[in-house]
Amino acid sequence: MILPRRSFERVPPGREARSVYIFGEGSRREFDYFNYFKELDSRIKIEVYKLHPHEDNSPLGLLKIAEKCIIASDENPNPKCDFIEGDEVWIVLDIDKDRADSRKPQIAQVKLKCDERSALGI
Amino acid sequence: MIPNKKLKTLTHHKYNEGNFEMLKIASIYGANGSGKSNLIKSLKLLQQQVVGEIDHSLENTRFKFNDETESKDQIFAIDFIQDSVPFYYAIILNDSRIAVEELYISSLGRGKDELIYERKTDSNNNTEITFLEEFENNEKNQLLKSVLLDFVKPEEPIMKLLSNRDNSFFAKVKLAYKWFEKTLQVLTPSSRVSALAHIVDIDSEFKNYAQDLMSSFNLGITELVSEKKGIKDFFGEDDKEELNALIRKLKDSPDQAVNLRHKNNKDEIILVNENDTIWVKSLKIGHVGKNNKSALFDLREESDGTVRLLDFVPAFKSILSSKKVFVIDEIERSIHPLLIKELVEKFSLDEQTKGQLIFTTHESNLLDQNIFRQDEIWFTEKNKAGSTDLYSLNDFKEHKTIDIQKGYLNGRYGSIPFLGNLQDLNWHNYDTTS
Repeated sequence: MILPRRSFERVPPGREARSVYIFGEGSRREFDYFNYFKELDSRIKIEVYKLHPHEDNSPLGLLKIAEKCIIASDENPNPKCDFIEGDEVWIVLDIDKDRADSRKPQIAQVKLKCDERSALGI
Repeated sequence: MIPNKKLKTLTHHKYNEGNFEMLKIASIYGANGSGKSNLIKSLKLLQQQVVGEIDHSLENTRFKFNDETESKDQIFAIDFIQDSVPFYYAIILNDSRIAVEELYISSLGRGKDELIYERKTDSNNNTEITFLEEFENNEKNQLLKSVLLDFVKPEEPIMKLLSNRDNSFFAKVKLAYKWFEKTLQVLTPSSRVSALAHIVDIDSEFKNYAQDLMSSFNLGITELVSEKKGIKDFFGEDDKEELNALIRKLKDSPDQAVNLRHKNNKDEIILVNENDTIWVKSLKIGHVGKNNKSALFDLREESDGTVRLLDFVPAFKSILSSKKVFVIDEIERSIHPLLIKELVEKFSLDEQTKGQLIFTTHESNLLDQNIFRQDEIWFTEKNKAGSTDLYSLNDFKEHKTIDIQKGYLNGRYGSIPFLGNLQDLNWHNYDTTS
């Protein structure tokens, strides 16, 4: 018999429909780096924000951009991203030793805000 | 088309055949070149093999990325139910030779499948057939078997040959053949439903249904008319030889009907022999226009969309009232998305339907949980090896996107065209005039 074992059951759901939204501080390299993964496999669902050179790429600046892309409000009724519960937002920063200490307070601030949002489910 | 037992939406979409549950719809989405149509073509190829109408455009369908050293075998296998009997049928095609062919009563995953017959043809075109034991043990049957072997052609399945025998052992084969011949109906974008002019003429119930459906689309269509002419009135007396050849062809045809459709002409004309009178029937479409004046139009005067909708009329009639399986490739071809959505929605919400509808589409507008269950939505995607992955929305873990259309277009389920390369393409590079 060619196919003696055929499945008559549905496989239990195992695939993720979760999206990851990435905001990196560089305008070109981070963008290319993460998009490389996107092309590898359609199961990797990431959206990489393309930062314009004039935009504020400090940790708090990136957080503001992310909020604008994700959270709908009266002034911003149609945010760019279709963010739903379960999705993730990454803020990607390059940490080198020289700058690390000076940026710590800002990063801590961003983390605090992110934790608050997570607690609220956003 | 097996349901997820835990899913509680649109429960009337589950048909129950002998305690086996099946879904009534499968809708397949995918980007261009992802393999949607190939899925349908493979089903059509299997059907054509079985009923013996080989379409040469479907030859050489072997996977082209295999090495020369790899097997040339193509496997086609299917489980189906005809008149409450479940079957499993499979062939291995090697170039044009049917290397293996097997028909079983399928256990549908609940035990052992029971052999009806197995046929093997080796590369020297020697064929062996094995039947169920009960058949093999009978001496008379051994004689029948040796006679049958004389008729076997290496490139043809034997199901049709066996189903034509009047032997009670082959009753089940007859049933299985009926599924391929009558139950399974595959509509490709270029295929046309035949004999519409004839059915409209002889079946007034069908005519009324078709008229009602076509006028409900608001295309200005008021009636379908089958115009009936004597063969001489239609063709004149000019080319008697051609006419006689046509009459011979008609009298030889099993259902006493011959389609005269021209390849590039949409007109629906059919030659029918009724009690030894030959009629030419052509389909005309009645419209009402200025000052309520009505007029008849030929099909070639109608839009592509109207002609395509006419193809769907018998399809939707069949799946409403009988256990047919309609497979439609590119259901939205030539037809407005809203019209198709409404037609499919009507079928979806109707609790009295009996048949199954399987279709492919690009139309994300159809991705609607009010019309389909999650386990009825399928996606195709080309993988790295160049073959097709088929997966279902039901494979995804539960998440909060109620709007699957939006989720699909945003790429949450894959299966959409990857546009990155298009943005990077500088097509002015190819402009040699500047």
